[in-house]
Amino acid sequence: MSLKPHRHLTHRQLCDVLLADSQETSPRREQMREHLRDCPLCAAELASLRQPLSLFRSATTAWASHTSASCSRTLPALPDSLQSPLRDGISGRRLSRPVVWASAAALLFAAAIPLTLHEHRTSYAPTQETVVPGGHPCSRQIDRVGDEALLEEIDQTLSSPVPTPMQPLADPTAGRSNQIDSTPRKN
Amino acid sequence: MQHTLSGQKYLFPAVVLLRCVPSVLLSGEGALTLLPRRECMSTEALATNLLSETSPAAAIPTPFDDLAAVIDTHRPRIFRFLLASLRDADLAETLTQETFLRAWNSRAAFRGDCSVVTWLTRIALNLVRDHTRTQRFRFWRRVSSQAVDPAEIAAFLPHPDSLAESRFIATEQVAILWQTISTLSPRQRTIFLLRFVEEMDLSEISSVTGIPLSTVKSHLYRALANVRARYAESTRKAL
Repeated sequence: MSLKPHRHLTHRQLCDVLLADSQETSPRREQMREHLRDCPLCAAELASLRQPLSLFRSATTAWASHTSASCSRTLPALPDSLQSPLRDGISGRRLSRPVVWASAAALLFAAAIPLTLHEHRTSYAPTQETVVPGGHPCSRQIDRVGDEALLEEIDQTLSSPVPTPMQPLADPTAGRSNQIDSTPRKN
Repeated sequence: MQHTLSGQKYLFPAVVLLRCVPSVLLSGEGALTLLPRRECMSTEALATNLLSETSPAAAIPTPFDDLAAVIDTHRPRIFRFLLASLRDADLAETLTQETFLRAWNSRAAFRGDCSVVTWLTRIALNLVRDHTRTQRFRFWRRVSSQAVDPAEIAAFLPHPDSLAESRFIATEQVAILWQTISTLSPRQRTIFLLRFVEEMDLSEISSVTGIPLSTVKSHLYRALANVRARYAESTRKAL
């Protein structure tokens, strides 16, 4: 398309000039550039379009930088422990894993404790009738041994020919002939 | 800034909670804390969080193995694109983090057919699309009510020591352009921003958006026609 001197650039041609790479060279582009040099109206029109676009870009870039910077200023500093994993790239993931697993194990352990207690309670439930409620298992065993000793002692007492309280009367001097019992007797 | 967008209002806390679980397990100095949605994360924090994400794809080396460097290099650009597209700093920050998270998780799919920035921009654009698709009505109601004041953007114009009159004109120009962009269709706006803010080549835009080159050009012609019409209108009003 050839450009006549008396005809101004169309909207598309102006846009083409605006969108074109400045280093792009083609006969058509050269004609348009030549026309812009000769035609002040078209040059003014192009400038009136190009200037606000340039201003808009500068303003938007500065605005975005300012917004981004103001955001970053509000951030707390990263702890040093995170700086080195970051510098190491992917290895940062490896460093954090053991801590995660340890924390997860601790959480699982904490969750398992109530279950274990519940299991203990159900396993002792059948013997609860013979044991003092709330008693410790060890104390229950000691009590059982004590009971057996007491029963044994009662059996011995009953099976002996002279009851234990009457033994001093059966043989008053047995083994204590030279001793005087001065302790007061109780009925 | 409040995100009153429905749908993802419930999704985001769930996602954050799920991601926090491994972090909560850590204690003491090694604790990784995933910051709440509206807080930004430094490059190190973001990279560390992403590195702690479990992903099966780690065998094949990719540019994302040096994640901190990738984030350092491309984060400003991705954030800028998202900020210009969404006009919401908090949301842009959230989606920037999400972009790198997705890139990290699917890094095995990166074959090197395109540049890293093209790939990241494609992910970011998909996130914007997802977001605007599900939250279309509230999103646009919010945008139309000008969540970001154009004067706020114009305050960042270069040459702060120039003449007051020149600054006023420049501020007006940026404000008109800002408002015009908000009236463009989502596709036109994306292409416009990729070209005139990110300064991408047309072929690169075509690759990012998946739109044929000729269609990309057509969208830009229409977007620029809108911009010219708005400038002509404002000039008429001024006279």
